[in-house]
Amino acid sequence: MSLLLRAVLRQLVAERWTTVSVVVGITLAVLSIVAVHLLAEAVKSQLDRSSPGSALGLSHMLHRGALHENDYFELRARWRVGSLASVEALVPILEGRVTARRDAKALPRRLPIRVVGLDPLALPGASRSAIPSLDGDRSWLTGSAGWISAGSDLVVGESLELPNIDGPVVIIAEVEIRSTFDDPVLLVDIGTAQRILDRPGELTRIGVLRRIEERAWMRVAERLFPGLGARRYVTDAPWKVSGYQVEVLQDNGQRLFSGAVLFNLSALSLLSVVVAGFLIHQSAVNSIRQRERVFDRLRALGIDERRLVLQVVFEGLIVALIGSVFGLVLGWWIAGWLGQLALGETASSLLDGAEGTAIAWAAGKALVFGPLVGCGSMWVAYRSVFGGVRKRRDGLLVGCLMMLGGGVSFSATGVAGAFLAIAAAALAAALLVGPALVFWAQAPRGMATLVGLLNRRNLAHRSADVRVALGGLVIALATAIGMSLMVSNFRVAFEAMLDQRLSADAYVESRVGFTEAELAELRSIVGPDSTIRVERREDGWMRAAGAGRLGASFIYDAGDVDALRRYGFPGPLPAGGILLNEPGARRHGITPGDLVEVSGSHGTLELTVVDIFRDYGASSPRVVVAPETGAALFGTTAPRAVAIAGLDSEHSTALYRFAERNEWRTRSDADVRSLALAVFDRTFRLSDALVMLAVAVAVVGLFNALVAVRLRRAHEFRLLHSMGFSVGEFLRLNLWHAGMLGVHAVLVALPLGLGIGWLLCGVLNPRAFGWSIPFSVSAEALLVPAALGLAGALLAGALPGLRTIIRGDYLDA
Amino acid sequence: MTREWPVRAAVMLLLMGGCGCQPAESGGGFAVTGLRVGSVLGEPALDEGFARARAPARLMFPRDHGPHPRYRSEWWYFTAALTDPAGNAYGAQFTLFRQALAPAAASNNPWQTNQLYLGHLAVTDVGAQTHREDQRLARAHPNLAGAQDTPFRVWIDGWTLGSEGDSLFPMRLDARGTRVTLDLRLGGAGTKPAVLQGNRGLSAKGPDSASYYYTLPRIPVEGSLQIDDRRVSVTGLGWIDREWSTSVLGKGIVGWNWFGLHLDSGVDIMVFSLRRADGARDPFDAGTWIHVDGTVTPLGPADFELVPGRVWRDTAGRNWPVEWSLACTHCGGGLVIEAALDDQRMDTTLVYWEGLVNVFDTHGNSRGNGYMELTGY
Repeated sequence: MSLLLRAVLRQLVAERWTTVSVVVGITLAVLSIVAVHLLAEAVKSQLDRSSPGSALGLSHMLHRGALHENDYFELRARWRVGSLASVEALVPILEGRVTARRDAKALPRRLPIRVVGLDPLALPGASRSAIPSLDGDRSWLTGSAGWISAGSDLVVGESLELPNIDGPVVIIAEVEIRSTFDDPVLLVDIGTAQRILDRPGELTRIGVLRRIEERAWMRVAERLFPGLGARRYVTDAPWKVSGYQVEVLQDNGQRLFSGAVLFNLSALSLLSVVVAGFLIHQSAVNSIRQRERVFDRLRALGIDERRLVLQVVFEGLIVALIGSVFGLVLGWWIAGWLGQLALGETASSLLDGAEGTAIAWAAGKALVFGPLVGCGSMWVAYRSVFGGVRKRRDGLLVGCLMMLGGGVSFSATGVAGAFLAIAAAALAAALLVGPALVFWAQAPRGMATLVGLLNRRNLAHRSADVRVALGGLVIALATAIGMSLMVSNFRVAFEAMLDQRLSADAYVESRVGFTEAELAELRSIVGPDSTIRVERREDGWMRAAGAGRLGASFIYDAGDVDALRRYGFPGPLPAGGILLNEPGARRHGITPGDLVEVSGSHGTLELTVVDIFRDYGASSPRVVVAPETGAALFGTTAPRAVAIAGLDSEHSTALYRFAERNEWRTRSDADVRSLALAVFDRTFRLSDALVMLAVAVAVVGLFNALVAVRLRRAHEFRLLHSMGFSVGEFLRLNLWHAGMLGVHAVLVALPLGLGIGWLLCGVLNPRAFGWSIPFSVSAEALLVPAALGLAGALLAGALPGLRTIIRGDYLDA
Repeated sequence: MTREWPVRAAVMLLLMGGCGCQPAESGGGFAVTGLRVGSVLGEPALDEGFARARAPARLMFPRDHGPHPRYRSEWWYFTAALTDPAGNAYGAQFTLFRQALAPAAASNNPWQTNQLYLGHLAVTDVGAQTHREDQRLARAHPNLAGAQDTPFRVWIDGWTLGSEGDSLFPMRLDARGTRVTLDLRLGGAGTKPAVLQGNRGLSAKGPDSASYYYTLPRIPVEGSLQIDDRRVSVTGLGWIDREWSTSVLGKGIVGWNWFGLHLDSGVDIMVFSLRRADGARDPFDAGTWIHVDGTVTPLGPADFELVPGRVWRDTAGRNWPVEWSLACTHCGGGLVIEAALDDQRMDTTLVYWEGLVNVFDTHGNSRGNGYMELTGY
């Protein structure tokens, strides 16, 4: 074993408590990175499986009233002569619902199932791998076999009797798709589905895989920072196919919202790494200071500076690697637990099926971030002790303030600017922690106790021993405060939006629009006590002054004031006025009072934006117009959705049955509201857990620093002991010291946390997703992290103190 | 005799299970390693109900230009050696394979069929040292894939090879792939009549296995091709092979080397050698010497010998013999066959080598060109 390695190992063993605490800090930091990465993959996987289309790798669905397979062949021919750019696959799809009869011994004997027919040979290549046994059993082509969605009561090998076909259909494998309804999904060949559903030649929709150009760096950035790519689904112009309505499977609120959450979680996982860097730095500074004489002797013996630096960096590498490996293993376990917290009981199964690339990326990040931070912090610590890094705190502060100001003021700096502003604010606070501590400790006061005087003196003269660790604690607490403020404000705003939008008892959607006859039948089904409000939605274009044309969705209701209240507008709309959603307004810098040009299939108008409404979960512009404006833009169109209020349970059941027969999508607004809030709360519990991890890392860092302080105060303790200090007084001394540090950290963290909260609500989220969150301060968001910070500091101080007192270490000289 | 055995082997393996071949990007694709011809083509258990080639049949045209659904496998194989006005050399290939999964029709719903089709498209640009290939897979359906005899037409998902009138020629090949496009007109003066291979079209492959096989050996071709972003006008000579059979390979056969050559003298040559697992020469190696006037001299194993020369190693570690010596009773001093470009590998569901070759005499003088197929490596 080389001398270098032996020296490093010896040093690590000699300072084993420091080593252990640094390993613990790295472990916690890496754990959070790995957990967030694996969770992000599980969330994305869940979203991909959320519908058969998504599960099979399709990106769009094309709809048209009364779709026939001849339409599909015509479109396919257009595609093959190059008419549909970037399309890689077209798939005919037919869906319907039937009742299947099972084997005599199976229960229940009769089971409603959802039949989805498609042409597996038309699927994109990678998607075929999602259908097991496609290349092992040819019977699906001749109509006697199919696949069942995972998680149903039906089993592989089971035979089903289905209407309109001779002979049973045997289930040959399970497919990892999730049914959007409660019934299991039976995937069969398109010809088989047409016979089962007795719909020869018919299709429901055409699935499309269209490759969206994605820069390579974006793919890498998404892997490094899950959630960053959530905005990549936002396209400037919607893809249009003449004669069809286009549904984008990936550009939906659920995916964007999940991306937003993952984006925030990724940032928090990095926070732990940053705080761990502070921990290592502080520990390293203390350790190197204790070995100053040893280093001087080594230099005198002729050891060059490079080797000394190498030894120190190597120490950091070894502890970081150990911590990273632990963090990787624990991160996997924690991911399962966090996933359970956020996603429900399916989390474990999702992680069990994690792809090799996801695991490889998680391992790579763990084994890179940890050692990077470890080695970097040790190098900086060595340089700061031996003067290689010149301290330019004032310059750094000015730089931080400029970065903060620039990032906030110039929206062109985008998300990166917002992140840098937050980082700059945190760094500035960390830089000021030490001087503020000294200032506070030295401030003149009246009569004080001996314990108080001793601690103030210690804080004033030995701030270097703790200020870096304290800085880490300040950042962690400030982030906890900021996140807490952001989440509480977001929830309030989100709930307000849900209350506005989800005001009906039931909401029914038809992709191709309701005919007058269907509307009449709906009215008779829901009963005379219910009210029906129709909603028309069409795709068009919008252009603001000096900007390019942007695709937009247009919504126009029956025109009543209640409809407009859903978008927070007291209504009615003034002539020539429109409401625009916030993401759309931000994309073009539009404010109320601006003129915009809007275009539809029937005309173009110049209208005034009278108000902007919040639209969490939307990625593209949505415009609310008056019915007459809609008619002028799009002509006479069929309503695509109806909202029904005043529905009782009897009529509700009849409504859902009728909707199902017609394959309309239905939802209960109340259920959606409860589910949305439950998902919100569940997912943000994750951020709480990650912030607590960061605080834990910071507390470990402070503990480490206070252990070093204890050693340096040994002579002081001996003197006090000789003066007759009791055990209780020693305890009070240590707790006082730790408490003062905790209070100081909280006092610095509070304004920083308020600033971070404001930046998250008003700068980062708007730039990242186009949503702003109204900012207000709640006592709970401030007090809980403050109390945790103080408790953590007391714990970090109490343990070394207790150990000192009990073992009487200070008596050994 | 068929040169398509290894490809057919892959087709049978793939289509028997509907392997799911996506049109492959050039140079990429879904290569299946380790696919053995013999293990697939020698599956008597799957032959039940299908017709077998056992005796010479009276081939009649145009009927036999169309499909033979009672037989399990079939293909229409077009290759061409082409040049542009500047004299740059190109190779073109369009192949359509048919595979039946069951002897009887499944139902009267056109989607429910027992026939699958696989199409391969490839272009070689010798000057740019580029080879691009594409693949399509579809079931038999009037709007997706199929074949008919009158007027002759085969098609798969937008690719079409078919007669422009009532007679077989002129024919038009219209195929647009991901990075290659062929728009060629086949036929005209100098087209040689069809040649029945083997014994009046019955081409033996083993003691108890055979196929029906005929060739259209020399077809003038003119039109245009596109490879990547370049489009060029081309002329040259094409070759069409037609074959259908059920379970044609014998035990112990692992691959195949096939050559279809146009000599400048007006003679065309077809030879193949079966690759046995034990390395020995197979007694069913065969060939055909097609004279200028279209008359035919069959070649048996004693009449010719193929000896491999230089080998090219691909990125997957396979060694492809891209140079050969052909000694035959009619060849004079012998012929040397060299690949115009080493990498003309078909990176499709089954990986095989199919490409343009140049023919020289033993003194190095150019004698012609043609196509070579290597399988089972």
